[in-house]
Amino acid sequence: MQALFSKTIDLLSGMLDYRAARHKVIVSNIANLDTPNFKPQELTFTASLAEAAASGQAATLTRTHNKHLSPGSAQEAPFQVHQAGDKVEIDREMTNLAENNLMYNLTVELLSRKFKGIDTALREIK
Amino acid sequence: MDIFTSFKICSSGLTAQRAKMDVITSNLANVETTRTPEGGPYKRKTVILAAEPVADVFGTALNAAVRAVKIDSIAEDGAVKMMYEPSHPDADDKGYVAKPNVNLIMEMADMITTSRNYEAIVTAFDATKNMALRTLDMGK
Repeated sequence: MQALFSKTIDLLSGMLDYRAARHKVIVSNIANLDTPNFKPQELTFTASLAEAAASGQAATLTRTHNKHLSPGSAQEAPFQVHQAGDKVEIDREMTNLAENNLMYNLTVELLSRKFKGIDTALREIK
Repeated sequence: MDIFTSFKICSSGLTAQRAKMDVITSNLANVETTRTPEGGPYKRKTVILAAEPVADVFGTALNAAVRAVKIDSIAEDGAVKMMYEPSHPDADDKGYVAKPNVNLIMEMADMITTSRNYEAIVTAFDATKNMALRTLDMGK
């Protein structure tokens, strides 16, 4: 499994998660363009993507009893929300939207090429 | 990834902007209205929006950040403009008519803003749809 689906896929899916979450935050900022007292939000990594992908694999849950289940798929999002400015600036949000969208598409493209590569390798064996 | 949350937020934004547009056109249409069912001249209305938490994002830090929009209330501007028009049937004994406190220029400016905001949200919606479609195409 690890030989076929290497670190690249973990990294890319982490990236995809981040882009999807950031998209949600940007959309929420745009929808609340003229809501009084609304503070725009921004999503950033708490650590580098490589660390995030690594920590996503094994979330640090403490086992207080040896009969407890070992931490498996429990994952905490490796990114953090913070306030960006005092009011929504539409040009900034639209730029973020476009940039995030492009990066999302790029990540999807990379993933699908990765899969295609695996597919080609498998096909040639047959 | 829950792409439908983004769709939901977009649609709440679109609804809000459309409501604003409804109210602005109503203000514009009634710029000269001196009689209403509740009596007196038409009262200028303003939509007040409020951010609303999205219910179905659970267990993430995003919960605090992601907000939909809802229409909080519609405020009425009780002020009237007194215009001197002695020939008007609704003029008082000094010849003044109470007209709605609607400023045409302001309403037009608001209308442009609302229409641009609507466009911005439509763009966001398009981007969301594009992302969803790209994700579906990934395995191909």
